[in-house]
Amino acid sequence: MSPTSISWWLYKEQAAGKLDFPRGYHYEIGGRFRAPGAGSPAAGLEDGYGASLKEDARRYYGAQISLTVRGEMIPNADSYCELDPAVKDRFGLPVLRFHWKFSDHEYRQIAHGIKTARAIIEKLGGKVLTPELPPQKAIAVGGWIIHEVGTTRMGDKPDNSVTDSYGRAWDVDNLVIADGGVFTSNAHKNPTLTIMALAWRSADQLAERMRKGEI
Amino acid sequence: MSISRRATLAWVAGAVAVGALASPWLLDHANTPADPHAPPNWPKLDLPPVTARGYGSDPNLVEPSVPWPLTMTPAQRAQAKFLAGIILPADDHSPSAADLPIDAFIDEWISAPYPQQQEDRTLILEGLAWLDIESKARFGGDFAHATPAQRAALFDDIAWQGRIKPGLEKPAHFFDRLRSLVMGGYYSLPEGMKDIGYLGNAPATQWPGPPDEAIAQLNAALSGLGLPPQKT
Repeated sequence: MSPTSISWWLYKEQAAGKLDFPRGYHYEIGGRFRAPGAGSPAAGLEDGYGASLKEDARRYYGAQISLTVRGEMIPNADSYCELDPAVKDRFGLPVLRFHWKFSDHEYRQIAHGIKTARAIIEKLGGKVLTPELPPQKAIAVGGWIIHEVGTTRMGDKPDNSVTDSYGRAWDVDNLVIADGGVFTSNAHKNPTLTIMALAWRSADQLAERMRKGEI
Repeated sequence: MSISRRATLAWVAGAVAVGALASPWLLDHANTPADPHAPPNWPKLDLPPVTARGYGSDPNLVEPSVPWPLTMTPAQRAQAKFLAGIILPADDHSPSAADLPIDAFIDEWISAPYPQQQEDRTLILEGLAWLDIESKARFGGDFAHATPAQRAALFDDIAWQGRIKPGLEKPAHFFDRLRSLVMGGYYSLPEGMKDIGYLGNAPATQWPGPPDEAIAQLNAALSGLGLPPQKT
């Protein structure tokens, strides 16, 4: 995979309410010289047998790129975890039980991403090889391509969040969550720098509170 | 550097295994129906399971070795070799696949103790057997003893997308997989790499910069955006 990507570019259209989904996505661009056959990207173009197959191999070798949509998942009420009422771990403590579902936000976003990607390939003079699938089928299985963030999300009130905006748990005064758990959605970008910035901010506030003797 | 056949195989298998996790192209491939309807004369082979150990999670890639034994019979190997030569014949650029150890590659692939390779093993070995069964029914002899015109007639029923003879979807699936393996083996050998112009990683002692043509195109685009030109 190439580190090259096309960043989200439709901020203005989104602000003007022209898109039917919130937030955004980016494309990861793939393309490399990979040997024909055995999982080749040209599978589907290399056809038949004999002299023409060798011509296919020469013609299509290294002649392909791929665009992969990576989008932001918006939290929804169907995706949460809770203590399992029945299953316990070896210490006798209840394990976490996860509930998870995509919403129309993701499907609409993916549909937009696929449509645009196909248009890009065609505009480049290319031929789209991937079959056109509905977004429900085109989207990767949940949990397959992710950065692990969220669950103990931050917020401005205890009834819809686990921590305040400093990562401080609403329920436990001296507990500060300083990892990706406080994210409020699963952004399509790598989260490490944001996690570090938030942890820094939380640590500053924690130090300040300790200096004041609050904890 | 000369790369040994076995070393190349190990790398190809490793790359394919990694690719299965990372590559969107392999997802496309998954759209092929896994088990299309088989014709009535499709043989069901009762193959003893492969129980050899695999590479493990941390293979030695500096001195690669393949730990599983080969399982194809000499007759199956000869058949695979013969078919490889029809799939990729000799031309002005490169030799016939029958003159390279593609049969060994296929043997090693389908003898591997991994789920995908084991699926391929059933498909390939049943497909090889089917070719002879079908050939006997149509022409009165094994595929290898049919005339080139007879072989072409049979291949043309299963080898081209969109032109597969109804009822022969399973043999066509076999052919697609066999072709993929023949090509995978062929183009990972020096002769195949030379044909498609594969260079691999090559050291560059200097960077001459982008060509003037590319700079001109970039500057036209920058000018259109009202931005200053890029210097060469």
